Amino acid sequence: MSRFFGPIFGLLLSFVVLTHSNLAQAAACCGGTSAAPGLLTGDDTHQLTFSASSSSVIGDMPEQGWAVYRSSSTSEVTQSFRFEGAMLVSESWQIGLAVPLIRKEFTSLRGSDSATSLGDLSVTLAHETWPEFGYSAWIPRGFTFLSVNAPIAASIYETTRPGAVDAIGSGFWRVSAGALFLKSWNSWDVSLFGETHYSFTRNFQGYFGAERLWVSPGWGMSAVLGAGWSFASAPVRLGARFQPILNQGRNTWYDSGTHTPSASQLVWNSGLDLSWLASPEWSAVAAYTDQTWLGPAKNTTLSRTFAFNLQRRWPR
Amino acid sequence: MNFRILALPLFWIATSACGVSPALHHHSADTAKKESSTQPPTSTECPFSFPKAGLCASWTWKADPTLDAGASATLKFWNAKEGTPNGPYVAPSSAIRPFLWMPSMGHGSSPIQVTSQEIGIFLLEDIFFIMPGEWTLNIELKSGSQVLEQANLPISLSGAGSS
Repeated sequence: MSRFFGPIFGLLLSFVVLTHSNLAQAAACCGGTSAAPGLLTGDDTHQLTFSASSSSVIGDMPEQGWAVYRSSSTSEVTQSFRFEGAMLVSESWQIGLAVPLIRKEFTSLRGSDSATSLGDLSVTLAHETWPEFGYSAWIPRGFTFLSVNAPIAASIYETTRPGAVDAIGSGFWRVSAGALFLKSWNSWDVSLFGETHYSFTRNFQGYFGAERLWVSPGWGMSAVLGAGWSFASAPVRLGARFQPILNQGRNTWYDSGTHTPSASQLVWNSGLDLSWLASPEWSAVAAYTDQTWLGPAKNTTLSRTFAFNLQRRWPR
Repeated sequence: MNFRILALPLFWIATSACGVSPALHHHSADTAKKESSTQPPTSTECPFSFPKAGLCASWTWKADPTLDAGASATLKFWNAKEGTPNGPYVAPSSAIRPFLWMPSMGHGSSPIQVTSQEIGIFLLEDIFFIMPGEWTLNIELKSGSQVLEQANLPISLSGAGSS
């Protein structure tokens, strides 16, 4: 039995990344997403991850002042089903692909409306830049990555449905680069993730029958600090994490020169995770992420997300 | 008892103590007083001014804007020199394009449906404020995709429902 639990703590570290990669939910309007990819951090050659999440917008944070929780007579729920794969292509390099299927539903006194479509695709190239060759009490294992988001789904600038229920994607090509550091001591693990992203300027031809609209979201960044504790008597890990996400204001303008800059956005994700390592090949995570616990938040929606992740790995 | 397990909630509490938590500092839309600034000012003689076209326009909600339902409104145009908000109404020589915009967010909402009811009077439907906050209601006069003139009014929408 101890031989089974011996490598558990290392494998459980992969949950850290698993939860990181699935807490990046936000309303499509607000660009409050980060770009945390699912990485191979265990001693595996491939992994497939299925994630299901339900995110409910419970309030809005203005530029200034207090948050306003939405009326109980309305609900805005986004359900995401995400398929994610990663594979080693060499001893230290890996590639990954994530394909989400997203359903958005808006319910109010007027009734209910929903839309389902593929979400934005993302591909990732990652490198194990700081491998663990031997024991160290403090040197972490580290990865760097480059990720590209492809705007497959319709965005708020392309919506045609009343209430913009079909605004599911971000609308922009985005490149993000960052690093992930993992360290464990006996039952404990700590992770630190940081990334910066740039969303490229895009024009939306004929925005509502008007002239061309140009939108430039620009730069953003996010970080995750997480910690976990694994039971010695069972393959279970409890984790907590928090993640600030900052995006600069968007510049928007028409061909005629009409220009409107928007304000920057800041939101904090806080989360609790319960992970279960069923076997060295199979694992599952239940995660809760809340955007109301931590502040300050600014110019964003506030959501609560429940997620369940199932992962299959192929050890070396 | 293994007290190390207490470190996780302590970690969460320590991090939660930073900043202004929205959970501890918020209003509820269910109890918030509904904003009264959704109605364009009626005191002015020309709420929407289009000086190049020599037109004025007024905006009257038929169904008040809320997050609960799509709003509808009537838009009326008159000659700035000869007409009044009570008429006679005249049809703009160019197409009109009404749309919502949320300046702080840098995006708008879904398309507004426009139907001509009488000369110079338009019914606007499917006006959806997809989130509370500060919006602008924009009216463009355009030729093809070219905007000839634009006028707008600020609208403040609380998170309150229609009840």
